[in-house]
Amino acid sequence: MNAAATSMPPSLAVAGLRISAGGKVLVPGLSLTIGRGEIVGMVGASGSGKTISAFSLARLLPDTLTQSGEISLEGERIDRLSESEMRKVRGGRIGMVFQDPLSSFNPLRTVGSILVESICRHQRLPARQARELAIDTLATMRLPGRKASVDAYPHMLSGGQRQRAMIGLALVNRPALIIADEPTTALDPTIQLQILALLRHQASSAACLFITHDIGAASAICDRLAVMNEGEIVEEGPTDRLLASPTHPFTRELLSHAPGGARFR
Amino acid sequence: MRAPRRIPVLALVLTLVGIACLVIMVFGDALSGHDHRAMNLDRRLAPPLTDGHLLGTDELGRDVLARLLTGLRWSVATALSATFIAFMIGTTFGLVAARGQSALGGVMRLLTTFTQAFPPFVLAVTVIAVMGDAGFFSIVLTLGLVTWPVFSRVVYAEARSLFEREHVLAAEMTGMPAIRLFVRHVLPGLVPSLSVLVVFHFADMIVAESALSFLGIGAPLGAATWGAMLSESRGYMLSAPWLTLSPALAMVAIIVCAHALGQHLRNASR
Amino acid sequence: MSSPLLQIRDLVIDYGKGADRFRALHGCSFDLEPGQVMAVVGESGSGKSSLVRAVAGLVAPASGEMLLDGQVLPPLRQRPPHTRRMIQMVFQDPGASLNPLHRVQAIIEEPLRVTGYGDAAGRKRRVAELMDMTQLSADLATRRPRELSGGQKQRVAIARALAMEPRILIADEALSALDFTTQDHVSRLLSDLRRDLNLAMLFVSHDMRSVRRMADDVCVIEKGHVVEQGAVSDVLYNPKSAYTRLLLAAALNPRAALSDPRLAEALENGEAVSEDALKGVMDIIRGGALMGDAR
Repeated sequence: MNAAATSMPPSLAVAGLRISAGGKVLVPGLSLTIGRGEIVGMVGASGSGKTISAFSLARLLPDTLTQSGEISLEGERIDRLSESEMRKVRGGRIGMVFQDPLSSFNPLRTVGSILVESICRHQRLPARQARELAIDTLATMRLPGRKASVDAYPHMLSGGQRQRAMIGLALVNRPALIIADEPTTALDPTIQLQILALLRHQASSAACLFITHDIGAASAICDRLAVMNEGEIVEEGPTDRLLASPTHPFTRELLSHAPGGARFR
Repeated sequence: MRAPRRIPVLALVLTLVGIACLVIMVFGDALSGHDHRAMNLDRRLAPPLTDGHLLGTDELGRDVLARLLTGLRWSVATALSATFIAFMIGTTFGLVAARGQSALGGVMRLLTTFTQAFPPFVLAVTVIAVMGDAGFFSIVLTLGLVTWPVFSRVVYAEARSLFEREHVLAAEMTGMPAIRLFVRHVLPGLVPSLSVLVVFHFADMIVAESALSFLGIGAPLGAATWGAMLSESRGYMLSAPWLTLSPALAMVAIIVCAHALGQHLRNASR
Repeated sequence: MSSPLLQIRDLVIDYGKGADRFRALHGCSFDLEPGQVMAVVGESGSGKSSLVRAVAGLVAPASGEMLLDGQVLPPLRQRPPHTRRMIQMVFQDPGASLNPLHRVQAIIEEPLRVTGYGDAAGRKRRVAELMDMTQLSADLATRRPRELSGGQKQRVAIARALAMEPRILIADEALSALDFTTQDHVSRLLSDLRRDLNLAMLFVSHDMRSVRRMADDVCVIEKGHVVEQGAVSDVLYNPKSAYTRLLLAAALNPRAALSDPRLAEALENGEAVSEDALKGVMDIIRGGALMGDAR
């Protein structure tokens, strides 16, 4: 599991990532490495810069924000890619999961056709094979009715099912990195647990960056946690160590307010 | 991400048209330098730009511009009043129905079906024809009374969801009088769609009033209205086309402006 | 012996009619005494909101009884003023529960006007008191809702409800849209108010931690059925239903819950969790120490 133990470059290596809006620096210099099969939680309150940092990895920031710094995906510098090359990376080698799948899915298209489109764009498979793959993927995500969910429109699925479909879409092109931005925040606690279990199991072939304000959810599935405050990682370490003996006061603050209270072991 | 700021040409044009309308409403035919009733049989059918007649004269030698301006006064006044009546009745009814239990909602649906089956204009023609004696108040009242479901339908649909809003529920829980609830908590939420609707309805009312005048059941006989001008010009369409074109183009212009304003409001409220 | 403040008996709530009828609540009964806090717990769509909305008078029950001080509680618009003001509500969405056009002062003053409280100066003093009670600084009075944080908006909503001088306050997921730090602060405020004003509360939530802190009793609803009901100390330490157990595991220690392979697999598959797979969860719940608010 540990990236350093293999000769392969890490799935994601970020060095000196800087994000600013006009003259205002939002993220002064962020460095982060995620190995293959590793899930890293980026935890912080709203406004801590965790979401813009994650979006900048896929170069999805709005024009009002500028970013600089090195971003390497499996050893390749993607921060130097052109916008058209980047479009092939997004949805292909980087899969994304968002908070609210109802607004991220086109309501006029079936879940299957959204998957098929993504498969065809990134894998150049013929339509029939792409559909087979879409059916298999949704079945792997444990959506009910092997064929039925392919032809379902997003609004016909429950919140948890939509999030399952969203994770399927993120994984269908076997990405090197999955960025999950608050994937459980809009869900009920028991459904959250389901999605967390699914994400942990299914994302094991990729590297996963899990962004959340909920340190409880992050602790449930992450191998490592990076606690963010005001654009900087104030504490980083293996989840068990960080939960057992947080050193930074901000981490302690986060833990004390999390559902579940102070102790996770 | 923000689009560069452009000069609001449309807003500028609409404002100018609005000011022009206001000036005409106040001064009427005085702006043309002629009395719209003054006949001059020596100068029948004079083409535009002759002897101080900017838009020429009609078959009785009356100044077309003076009649056009008087017609605008009449059209705008009737359309505004009819819109106001339809707005007041429709909004009140829609609000009461949306807040009340299912009975009034049923009446709402019935009315909707009824107005869709019976075009309001046909209804208006019938009512006015039956009343016989046409005048400003009977026209305004009739147009308002046959078109208010346009407002109540929209208000009903939108207010239904507004009454589910949490701040409206919170107000409801204090037990405040219905009037206060409507005015302070519900109506402000309807302003965007109502303002669009009012503008479009105004345009519709201009057309409806002109059509009534054209049929001769609108304004009193001999009054200078656009519908009457169009009607009277039918015999001279080829020999004196300005008689037809002037009221026709004026009507097109005011409706285009109203629609542009409506679109503008609609986009602004999104 | 006097009757309890609020008595709910076999309350059934339906939406729609005829073939489209949907039963949101299949019978629920409880008593609420002055100063007592009852938590209503359940998933979205479980019927918990329908229950408290019926008490608030916003939904008419299909059958069952609601008694306030022994008197039948009619739907909101048929309630006489003194009954109406006794039950007030704080809603879930802080963004939608305040009229965006009004200033904080006007929002809190409005119920006072409606109930005919004092003159202008008296109302102004009362608004200042209410803002002080809800820990809103006085300079916020001239702000509009969009200039407030989520926590401040909820405090304004609480102040507005208190302006009616209720005896029962309904908090319909009033904390769930707030971030955790703010949740803690607002739930502490509610606890203080309950103590100071002897306010009874119906507290809808699926956050077991605030349920533990706030409530005396808890009622767990699943798909319209009450699956568990009783004192917090019983239900939260010895939960009977799979749903309650899972909810507690999610709130107490999701990491430990997911480390159980059987439970993790059942969750991943989205299946009903078997009694067997929940054994580990019971250990987490009985771990006891995890339950407390470590402070």
